[in-house]
Amino acid sequence: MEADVNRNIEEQLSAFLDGELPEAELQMLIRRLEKEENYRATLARYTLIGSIIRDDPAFAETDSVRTGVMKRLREVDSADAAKPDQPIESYSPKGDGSLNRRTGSLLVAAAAVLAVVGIYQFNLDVLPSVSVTSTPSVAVNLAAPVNPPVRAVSAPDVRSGRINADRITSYKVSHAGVSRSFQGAMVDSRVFVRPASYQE
Amino acid sequence: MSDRASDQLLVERVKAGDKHAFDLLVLKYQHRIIKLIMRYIRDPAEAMDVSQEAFIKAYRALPKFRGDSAFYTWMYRIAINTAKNHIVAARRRPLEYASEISEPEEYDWHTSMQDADSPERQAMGDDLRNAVAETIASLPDELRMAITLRELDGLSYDEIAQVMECPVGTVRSRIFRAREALDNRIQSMMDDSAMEYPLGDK
Repeated sequence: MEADVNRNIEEQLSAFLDGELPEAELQMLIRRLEKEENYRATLARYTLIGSIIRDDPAFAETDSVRTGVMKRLREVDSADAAKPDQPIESYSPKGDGSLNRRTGSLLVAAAAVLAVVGIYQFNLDVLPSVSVTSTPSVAVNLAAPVNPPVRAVSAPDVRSGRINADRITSYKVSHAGVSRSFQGAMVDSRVFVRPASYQE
Repeated sequence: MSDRASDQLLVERVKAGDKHAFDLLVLKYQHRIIKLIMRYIRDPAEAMDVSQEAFIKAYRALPKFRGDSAFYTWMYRIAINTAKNHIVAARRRPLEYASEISEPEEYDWHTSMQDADSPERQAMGDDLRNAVAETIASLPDELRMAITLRELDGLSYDEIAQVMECPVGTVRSRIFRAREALDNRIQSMMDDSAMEYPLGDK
């Protein structure tokens, strides 16, 4: 039974190589090829057979081209993964989706924090526990195309509910430019310049 | 589904971020691209490197590929440009190289390969060629005709079906059975050669 299944798949591989596989079978075969290395190896041997029949040169090690290409593409992926602050322009619109998911998550988080900060401006009691540091870091990540010059206020001050006004002020100064570059975010640089709202 | 449509499906998957789909495209066309590049670059190792470079360039340029031409046609152009750029970068004038291979159809690929290959690889290559030739000769007539019409003459299944006066499904089956027989033969050879010609030994 399993041998029959394998044989059916190998016949599909043969037709795929010739560009003669119907679309419905093609979709399933591609999914299978993505998961199962042994079928890719079979396909590689079928292409080798064709190359030998046609008397093509360099057939003995041709598969090294494919392995070399895929290795370099994986290296590029690893390098990209190590650098989260990639320019958005470098990703295709239908890219891997991870940037869109990350951006979406950041937008939701930013909206939540901004809502709280907005309330803070009206001096509600809940505000001192808000991590002011999170607003700038999230907001800067929205402006992901550039490396954000983030120098956030240290968390312990926030956690204790005591906010160091001087450090907040210096932070505001360093981020005034960034805050103006936000795209679509409901951020106003005036949010960061209300010293009377902070308590020591 | 035609070859072009099949390739376009894979291209769309690559654009959506599926690298495995690009692996399949490389697998399908690497032999042809190497053969093409060897019209410009004789050294097989160099040709392999340039072929890799061509595929990497194609991968990076794929987001811009609109599908107006077939993928292979587009890839063909990239490969030629990559080969020519490589020659220029290596300080060889393209005109000189062209004069060396002014008659590419007469270019003796195998002599070139033998000049550059190690004895072990040459022997393995010869053994594979001989094994394939013997296996094809031993195939039933209808299988041999189907596989040679496909691989040597490049006919589509429809065309082969007309030539052999049989249904397309029968053509597909015959070609597969021929490949299966050849695959079984070369698999056993590759297993044996791994013992006889251990790669990397000097």
